[in-house]
Amino acid sequence: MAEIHIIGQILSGKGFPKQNLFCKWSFQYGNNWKVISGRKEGQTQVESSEFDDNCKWCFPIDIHFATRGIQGWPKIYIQVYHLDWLGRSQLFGYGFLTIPTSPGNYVLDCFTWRPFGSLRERFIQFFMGGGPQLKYPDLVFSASDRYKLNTETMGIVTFEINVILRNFQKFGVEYM
Amino acid sequence: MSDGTFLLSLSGQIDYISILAGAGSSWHCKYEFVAGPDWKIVGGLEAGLSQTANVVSNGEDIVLNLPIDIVYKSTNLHGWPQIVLSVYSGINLQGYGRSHIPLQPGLHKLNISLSKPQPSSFLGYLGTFFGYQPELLQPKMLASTAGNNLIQMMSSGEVYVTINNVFQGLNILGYDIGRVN
Repeated sequence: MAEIHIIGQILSGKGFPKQNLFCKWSFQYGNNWKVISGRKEGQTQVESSEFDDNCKWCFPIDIHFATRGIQGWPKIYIQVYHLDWLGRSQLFGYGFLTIPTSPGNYVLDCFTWRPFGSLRERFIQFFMGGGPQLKYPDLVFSASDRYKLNTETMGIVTFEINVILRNFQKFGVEYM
Repeated sequence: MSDGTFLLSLSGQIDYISILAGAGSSWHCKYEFVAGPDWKIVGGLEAGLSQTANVVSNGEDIVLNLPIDIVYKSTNLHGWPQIVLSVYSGINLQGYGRSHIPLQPGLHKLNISLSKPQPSSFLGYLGTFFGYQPELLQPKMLASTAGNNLIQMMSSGEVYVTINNVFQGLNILGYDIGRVN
């Protein structure tokens, strides 16, 4: 089987309206793919920044996949949350990032969004926090159901990712 | 390497710390490498401690010029080495930083962001008025993907590190690390 290593870090989140952010991440991949070692989901620490709005998580990612086919190339799915002063967490953004299909070192931006509530919901959100969330987070990946959503722009999550392929050439996969 | 292993040799230095440093403070930095279970150190030091560098004028960069030299041997890329830094001013912690060792051969200039833990209890918060700064029992935990969910951290400052790395035997094992930038 061909193997792929994804090694890198969730560098930072910037452009979010508030600090004290953390990021939940998980890998999504097709049926042919198997995780040999490494975690496929996790959560960063809660980070804030002293002087700007750039929360530098620097959270490591290191995962090793084996695959029988190239269908369902892995994606990283992220949810950014804000932890407020009462210890409540509220959703600040959804997003996903497709892992590049050629080997190399990449710095990639994931642009995030969140559901946009009605006027009444936004009023409550402004004073009380909270806000609408997706009931079925799989909606993030489906291109066919997105039209039902009402969203607003949130910040940018930056990743640094190294992709290393093994034995792809042996199976005749042309990636360069 | 015919026995399925490859070598990673890295050499370089921790150049300087860029952080809000007041005149009269003295700083030092600890580094340690964290790697997966398959990784063995063939040569060099796993951890090190810098000299104490004194700050003469406000806001200057703190030059350490601390050499790093280490050679790893492994059979698996998983658990790629990471460097974990702890920066202290006097005996007070000023920040932790971590970064993967670059996965491509050649010269790399890293800037590693530092962040320090914030107190999580009211008592801890009161303690900050008396100069108490929470620390991690094991800074190496930052290098694990297991998560450190409940830690709240504040980022401040950066450390500049130069690393040269060389691989041996990666291509033979079928790995393709891509075009080197």
